[in-house]
Amino acid sequence: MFADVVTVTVKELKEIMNMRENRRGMLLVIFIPVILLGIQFPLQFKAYWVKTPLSLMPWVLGPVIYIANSIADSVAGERERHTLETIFATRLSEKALILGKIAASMIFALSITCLIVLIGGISSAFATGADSLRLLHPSRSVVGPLIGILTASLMANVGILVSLRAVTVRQAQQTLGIVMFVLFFSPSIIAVAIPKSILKSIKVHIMSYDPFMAGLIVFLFFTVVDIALFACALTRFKRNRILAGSDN
Amino acid sequence: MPAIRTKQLTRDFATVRAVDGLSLEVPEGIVFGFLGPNGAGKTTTIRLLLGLIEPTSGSLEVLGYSGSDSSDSIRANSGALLEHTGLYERLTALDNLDYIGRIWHIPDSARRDRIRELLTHFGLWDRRSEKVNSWSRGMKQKLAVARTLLHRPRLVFFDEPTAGLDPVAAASLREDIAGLVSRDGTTVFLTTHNLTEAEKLCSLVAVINKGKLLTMGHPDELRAKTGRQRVRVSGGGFTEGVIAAVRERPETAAVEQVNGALLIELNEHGGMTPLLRVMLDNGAHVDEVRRENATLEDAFLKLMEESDHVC
Repeated sequence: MFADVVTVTVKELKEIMNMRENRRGMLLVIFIPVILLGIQFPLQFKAYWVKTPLSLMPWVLGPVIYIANSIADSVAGERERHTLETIFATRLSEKALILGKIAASMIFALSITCLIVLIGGISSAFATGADSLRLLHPSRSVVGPLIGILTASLMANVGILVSLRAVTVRQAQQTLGIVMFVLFFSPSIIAVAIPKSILKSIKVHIMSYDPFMAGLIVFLFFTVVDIALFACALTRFKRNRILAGSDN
Repeated sequence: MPAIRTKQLTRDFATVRAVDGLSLEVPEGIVFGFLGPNGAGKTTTIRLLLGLIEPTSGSLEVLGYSGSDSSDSIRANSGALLEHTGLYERLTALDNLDYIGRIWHIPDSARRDRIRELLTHFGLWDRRSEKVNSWSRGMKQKLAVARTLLHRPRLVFFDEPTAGLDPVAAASLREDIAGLVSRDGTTVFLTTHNLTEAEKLCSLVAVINKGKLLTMGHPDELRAKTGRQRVRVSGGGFTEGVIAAVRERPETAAVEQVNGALLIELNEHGGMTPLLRVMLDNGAHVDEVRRENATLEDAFLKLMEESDHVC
């Protein structure tokens, strides 16, 4: 099973790297967020970037951006290109196939996110000097990657579920865009809509918690959500389900 | 033990019955031709046999494994080239085969050797490092065949394998398929629209239409059973009057003029003597009378006609 997952992961990574028609297109997709989150923001926000949780932003946006692109292509794209049925006709299990696809998307997204964070650190060092060492504090260097992994896993599982229902890659990407917007931007929209007095009392309530415990609860909550979504994706990613819907 | 055995296999899709009470028995080590028009249920049958979809009712057994609880074992011992090549077009030919070789757990050196052997055999070795999306349809089809045979499966499903191939490549592939059976004892389940191909390759054919099995047997049996006798009469003076007189005779099923000669399809037990007399009496002259064997295509078309008539 493990060997099968590795086999699928390696193949998926090769496909992701060749997703665009030309190499320049692929580099553009990869490097625009790298420049924005790794250079532009740290240089623009300077000390604010280093001292506040703003520097954790790449760990959320990186996986969201890169997984939305790759996972839709990996599932809806395979069906669109008629490669899914052929691979279903082999001895490969659905579990190995889905795990390989998720792993490849996560590896791809998290690798570039790590690159963004690294470049962001260098940019911060230029902008703030010794203050940039704050980025090495466990509240950033440990929490950041954890957030990244949870976000990547969440996006990958949501991506699989959305792609399974989508007819084309484009449709899957559009739906994922809406899901992303609802998941990540609705809290801030709600925050604006709630009266300031209520917001203040919520803030006081949250601040009364031990930060470590609060973080742990959030971590566990997202872990449970990720596991539940993965279980749901596994149930839906079945030969019978997928091919029964195609033409005879 | 037969390679494939199905009993009353049925599959419904919403309001359509794609496969309707199909009972087949395919012996091991033969090329089995599964013929039928578009939408007859051929692809659905292959999907059912591979355990890719579940039957609505009925049962199936492939290579001794039951379809209801051992579809993993069926796939582990089979290879399939389905209606689409299923190649990863952004990857190279080598990457495509290497991926499939790893899926079948072929050891590294054996995998490399086998890939080289197959790519060389299909004349693709020199282009192994090219991405497949730049290839012609024929080259892709050859690569897809190579991928299907990579792990030396006991049973191979070929869905229209020569579609898109040039005549030379198609003939070469037919030789390969025949070789698979004679050399390795592989069982080949072949669907094709090319009836000449089926006639050349298959020792057993089944005809399916609208999900129902119409007939099954050796191509010769099918021809004898369903194909009408045809006679070509060469000569001259085949006027409209002569043709009309021949058409009216009870021995005649159909008559047409082709390149100056008369092509007559005889009804069962229909003899030529009365027809020749009619021709001569109406002023025609006859140089040669030649009996032509009905082809599998004739038999197939007749079956389709009868089937459509019944439905």
